[in-house]
Amino acid sequence: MKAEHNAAKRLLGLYALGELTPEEAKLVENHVPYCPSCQGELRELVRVARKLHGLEVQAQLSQDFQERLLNKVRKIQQKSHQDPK
Amino acid sequence: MQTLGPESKDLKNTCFDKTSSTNNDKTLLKAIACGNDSALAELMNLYKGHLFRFAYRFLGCPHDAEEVAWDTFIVVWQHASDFKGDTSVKAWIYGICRNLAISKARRKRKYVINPVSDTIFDPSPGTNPEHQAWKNYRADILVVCIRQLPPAAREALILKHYQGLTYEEIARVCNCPVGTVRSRLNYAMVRLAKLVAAMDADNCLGEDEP
Repeated sequence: MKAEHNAAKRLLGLYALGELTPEEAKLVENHVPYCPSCQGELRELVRVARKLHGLEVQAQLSQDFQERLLNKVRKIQQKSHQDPK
Repeated sequence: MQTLGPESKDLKNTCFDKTSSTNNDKTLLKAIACGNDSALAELMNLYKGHLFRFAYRFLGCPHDAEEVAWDTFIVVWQHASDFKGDTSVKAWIYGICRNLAISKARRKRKYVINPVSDTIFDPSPGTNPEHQAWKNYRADILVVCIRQLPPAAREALILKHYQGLTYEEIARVCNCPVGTVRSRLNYAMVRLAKLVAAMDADNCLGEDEP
């Protein structure tokens, strides 16, 4: 029982993210209904996993990022052509 | 150093753009190694947003994230011919970006945490403003907690959950076994749940709705 508990507990975070193989998921699902401690932990993990799903980054690269970088690269290329080592 | 074959002259002069049927990561990288600017531009089209968001989620500062994305492309441009092809181009580029982000974090030591987060829950149509504000507040808490994760756990979570890399790709990026990636991801979730619970308790917050 203790070994089963430890094995399931080690997988709870990945279970909440849906990242387990079917065999691993079954191990968790066979254990959790009978273990109040794992039930509580899984409830919290599922809450956090749900929140992770809708999180979007609003910050963006500067609009001229690509243009500036390509200009920089061209300048370095020109310089290396002018001053070959 | 990769040997450039007879096709290198063609690759140097090929124009790569979004409509090119020849575009794939390895061809682009070979063309960059031949000095093809349009290939670099196209590789940037494919990766700049992903790398910026990865660095932003890791560092928490848009300015630092942009610098890391910039330096990543400079390294890719300078070392394109060093790519050995024993991993995917994606894993190789993310590996460069990840190392630069870690260096940046070490130099800064403290991450800048924006008081008003640039990360929000994507609003769905018809959401009332009060509910949206509450969701954004919850998103802020989550972002702060993600940034408190140890770097190895944080990068595993970001690369798998947000950047969509496979375990094998993450293992390549982080230079560790696949089993370690899974352990780190599991740990990230367990730690994150504890951090969120502690922050909710500090702020006397309960469930999701106000």
